[in-house]
Amino acid sequence: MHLIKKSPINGGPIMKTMKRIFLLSSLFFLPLLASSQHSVTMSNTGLEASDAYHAESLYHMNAKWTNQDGESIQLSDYQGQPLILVMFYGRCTGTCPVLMQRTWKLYSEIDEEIRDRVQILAVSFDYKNDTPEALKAYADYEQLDIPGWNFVTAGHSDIRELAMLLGVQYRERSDGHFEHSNLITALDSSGKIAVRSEGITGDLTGTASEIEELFTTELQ
Amino acid sequence: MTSNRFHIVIIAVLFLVIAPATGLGYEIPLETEPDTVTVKVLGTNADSRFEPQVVRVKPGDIIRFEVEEGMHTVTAYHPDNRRNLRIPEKAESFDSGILTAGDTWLLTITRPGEYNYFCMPHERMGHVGTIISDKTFSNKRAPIF
Repeated sequence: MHLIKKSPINGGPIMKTMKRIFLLSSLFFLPLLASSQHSVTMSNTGLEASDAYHAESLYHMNAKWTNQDGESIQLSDYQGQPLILVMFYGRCTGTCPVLMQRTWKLYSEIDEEIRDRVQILAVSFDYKNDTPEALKAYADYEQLDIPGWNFVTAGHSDIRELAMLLGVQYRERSDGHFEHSNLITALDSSGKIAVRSEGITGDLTGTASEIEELFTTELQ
Repeated sequence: MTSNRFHIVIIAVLFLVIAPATGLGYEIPLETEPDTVTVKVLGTNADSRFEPQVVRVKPGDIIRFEVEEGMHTVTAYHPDNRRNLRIPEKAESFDSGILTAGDTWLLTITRPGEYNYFCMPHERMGHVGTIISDKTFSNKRAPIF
């Protein structure tokens, strides 16, 4: 497990414009890169996460997501509160079940007094198969259909954009399964990346402390 | 008479020395000494399995999980792992985390009862196992006459 701490990027208006141009052009070229078997570093447990773009709030994303109950959700709905984000897919027979277990462990470590106000957004890459019904069945089976937990998906471009902003890499294999990064991200109440925990092995104590501190501070 | 007694003693000594080596007679169970039982973790996806799927041990024994292929976990049916309780009520939950080929993970069973466990990635494909811990169980050889 690697713990990657928040590292804000500063810059003037020109820099911000350049970053936006880079961001938009990356959205176009990333799927082309992802289709090449040799262009992405792969470990035995998934793709390595890339750096994330920290300067902008993710709560400004316009994408509409649909959750396990068929409800529409936007990231702006979380404005003013922190959020834990994780990307996965329901049919995964590799690392996702463990990634979800680690997300659950981090959630469980948060003080009971504020835990019921903690929001988790689990975003599926697999928009073809993870329908609201499939996500509902997944949440039920995993005993995670609990208040504050939303399992969502959206169109391909929205998923790709969010993945890029988080630094999650993924690509669909010919068998319909996905290679992907294993990353848990916590956003602060303004939607900026505050904590990132990559991997599916290793001690979670440090990350749990950081996330608990984030939620304790921001929910008071 | 003395000679007969001498022969009986010789035969008894020979029996005690030779019998254990040949598998004859009793072995004295050392109940305080833990045994190690190996469970192989095999396969990938739908072929994933624990072998043997059911093992019998006594409290204090160690289960040695040896992963030969694939990527698996050894996880207790316990609310800590978001599953209904299917291990003895006072037993501690367990979860190996991800194990890959070549990894070995040890689990010590301390209480009697039935412990059901699963592999997180392949549970839906039936990758589950059971440990039965019984105070009266001994995996020492049974007497053969």
